Amino acid sequence: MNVRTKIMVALCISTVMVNRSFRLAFPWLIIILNLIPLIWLICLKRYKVAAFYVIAYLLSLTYQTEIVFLQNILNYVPYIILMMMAIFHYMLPGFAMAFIIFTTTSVQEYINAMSRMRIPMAFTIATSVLFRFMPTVKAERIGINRAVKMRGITKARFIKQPLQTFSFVIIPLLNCSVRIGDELSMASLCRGLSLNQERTVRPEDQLKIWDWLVIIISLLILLMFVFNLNGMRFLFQT
Amino acid sequence: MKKHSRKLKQPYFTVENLNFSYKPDQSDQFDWLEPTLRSDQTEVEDICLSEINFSLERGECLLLTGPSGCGKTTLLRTINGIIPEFYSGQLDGEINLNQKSVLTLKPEQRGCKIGSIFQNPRSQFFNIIVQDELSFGCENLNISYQEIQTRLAPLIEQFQFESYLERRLFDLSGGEKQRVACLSIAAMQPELILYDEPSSNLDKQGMEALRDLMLNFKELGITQIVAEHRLAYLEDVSDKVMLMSQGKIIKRFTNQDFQALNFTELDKLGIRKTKKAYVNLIKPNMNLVKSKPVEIKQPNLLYLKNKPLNFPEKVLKQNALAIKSLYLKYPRSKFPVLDFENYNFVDQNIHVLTGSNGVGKTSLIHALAGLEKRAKGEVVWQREKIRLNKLNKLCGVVFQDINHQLFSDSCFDEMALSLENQKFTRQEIEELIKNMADRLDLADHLFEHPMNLSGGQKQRLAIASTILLNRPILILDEPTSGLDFKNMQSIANLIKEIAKEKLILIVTHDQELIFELEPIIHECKN
Repeated sequence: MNVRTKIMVALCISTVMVNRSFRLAFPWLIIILNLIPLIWLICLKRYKVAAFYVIAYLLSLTYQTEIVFLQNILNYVPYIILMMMAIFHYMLPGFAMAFIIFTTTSVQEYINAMSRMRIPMAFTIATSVLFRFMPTVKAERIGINRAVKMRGITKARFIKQPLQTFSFVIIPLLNCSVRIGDELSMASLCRGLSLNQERTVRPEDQLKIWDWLVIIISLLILLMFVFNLNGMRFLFQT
Repeated sequence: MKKHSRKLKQPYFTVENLNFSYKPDQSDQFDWLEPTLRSDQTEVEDICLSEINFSLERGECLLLTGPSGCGKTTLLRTINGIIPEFYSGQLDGEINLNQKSVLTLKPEQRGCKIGSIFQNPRSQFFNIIVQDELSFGCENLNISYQEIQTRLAPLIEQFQFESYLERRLFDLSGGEKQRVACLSIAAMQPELILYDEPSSNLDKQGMEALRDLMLNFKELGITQIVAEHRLAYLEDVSDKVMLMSQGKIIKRFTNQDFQALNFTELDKLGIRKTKKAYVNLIKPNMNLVKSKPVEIKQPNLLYLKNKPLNFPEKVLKQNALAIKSLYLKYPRSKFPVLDFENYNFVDQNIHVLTGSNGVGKTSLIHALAGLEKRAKGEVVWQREKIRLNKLNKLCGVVFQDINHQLFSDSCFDEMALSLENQKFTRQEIEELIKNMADRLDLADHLFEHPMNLSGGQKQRLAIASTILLNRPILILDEPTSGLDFKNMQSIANLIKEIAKEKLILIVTHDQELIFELEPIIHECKN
């Protein structure tokens, strides 16, 4: 599926979900929208993440449970935790969509999609580095953890001198990241990546009918959301 | 008429009176890159270029060599436009490619004519999938999709890259990444390609593949400039050789003259050896070499597999490490990376592990150092059986990327950290560190930040702090990659000295280091 479609769906889901009045007005739509990331994850064969999604969803659902037994327990849970659970419950589908976008999109697709949406290149390049940077930082972290372990810096030291020990991990990580970032930008500059340019259009960057359909549906849902907003409803009633 | 003919004779690529100094202009605005620039080793402060003049014909290959910090990288950066775009300074002179000045162009504009390949394969790809990376440069130039495909198809076929296209770049070895970078540049069809120490992470096969690629580019009429320490693999590629020192060209050779130099002459110039120099050295002393465990052409191979050994008496001696069994399999791969039984490191204190990229050498030493949780097995050290996860108390490791293991604010703290749990008094610690710093030539830099040191100094600091851990086994992973002759030799001497009391395992491709150390060679195979 095209990146632009994915972004549209994610935008739609994450906007609509957090509004309480919309949730009350269209409960069925909410259930469907909740299911979309789940089905998508299963299609991508990310079973572990999908299972995690379901479990997290059910757990965060407990805050509005009507089972007496659970409610009795919940009475003893501090209110702030319940509130956080509620917020998490609202935002979970949005997180799942972000995960899907990050794992299924290549840098190339992302840059092309953004430039076709006429989004300034300065913004696109800065954000596209994120795709490249996450795995880099992960790889660096593994290397640094090995070095820490080899030097005999134990968990006991973490407790005794937490700040200093933490700096042993974070300083090399920052240093390596800065260095890699620097070298990376030099290399991409030398390959002709610049701010004001037209890029090649690939066939897979073009939107197909299917994409248009999904985009229009998401736009419709967003429109419904806008009409349902309290202030707006007032506007249309008069 | 005369003028016209002279113009025709002008060479394809010329550099005239090029001067550069890193002193930033006072008038410049605050430069956000300044802090990182400072961390960029010694070349920042004092090294500049002065009076660089040379010219190349179409399809020629120039080899630039010289000690670290002599200005090779700076010269390449002025050609591809990183200077003055990234590093501010004073630049004057003239660079012409195909009779057109390139100095006024920005690096991204030069990009379509001048391709650059950098030292570190990890940080020069922008994409995650190989296929995207190959077409990335072309897409930036807005070349049509069909055209990119027609350019890539022959390259992919020639270098048998079909199986790589869908792979993630993070899963490739250093050599494979370097090849991806070369092909991606080749697809842009540049007129000039610059290489900045391209071989520093490559094994023998990787270097051979790189050499073939360079020869291929040469046939295509692409002019090439290579800055390099390791010269052996470039013997039949280069046409001209320039020796640089402190920002100046101090000697020029044609390739024939350069290859004819013998061992001692190269030693005097302080550069690494050509292949011929080695062969010439070995031939007259054949008997001598035979009695030693090393021979450059056909090393004394001990295969890690297919050679079951029962533990002999030797293993029970001091400083003998024996692997009883070792097994490691990554969840994603089909085959185990490591799988062997009854293998010994005996007889001598220095052992070298060689083998092609991606064969599992680094996995092996990580497993031996007890840093790989997924490895299973048992090891015998000085008559005692030891579980793998206990081994990290016995081994000190100098990792391939030394930046990972320099944690502290100063060299002194770095070494003091190693002594922390060894029940020394403050005074003893200071004394030990001073001794160590004197021996490793770090005394002047004792209170500097490790990231300000040059590559060779960082390497020595990492070794020093690992020695101070006072563990009986020392493991070094590629200790000389990217180091020049002088640094390589000082590290070799250091290793020899440590070997008097400790067992040392080294992973390296560096034939010259092996030659210096005279170790037992273990060749790793799948």
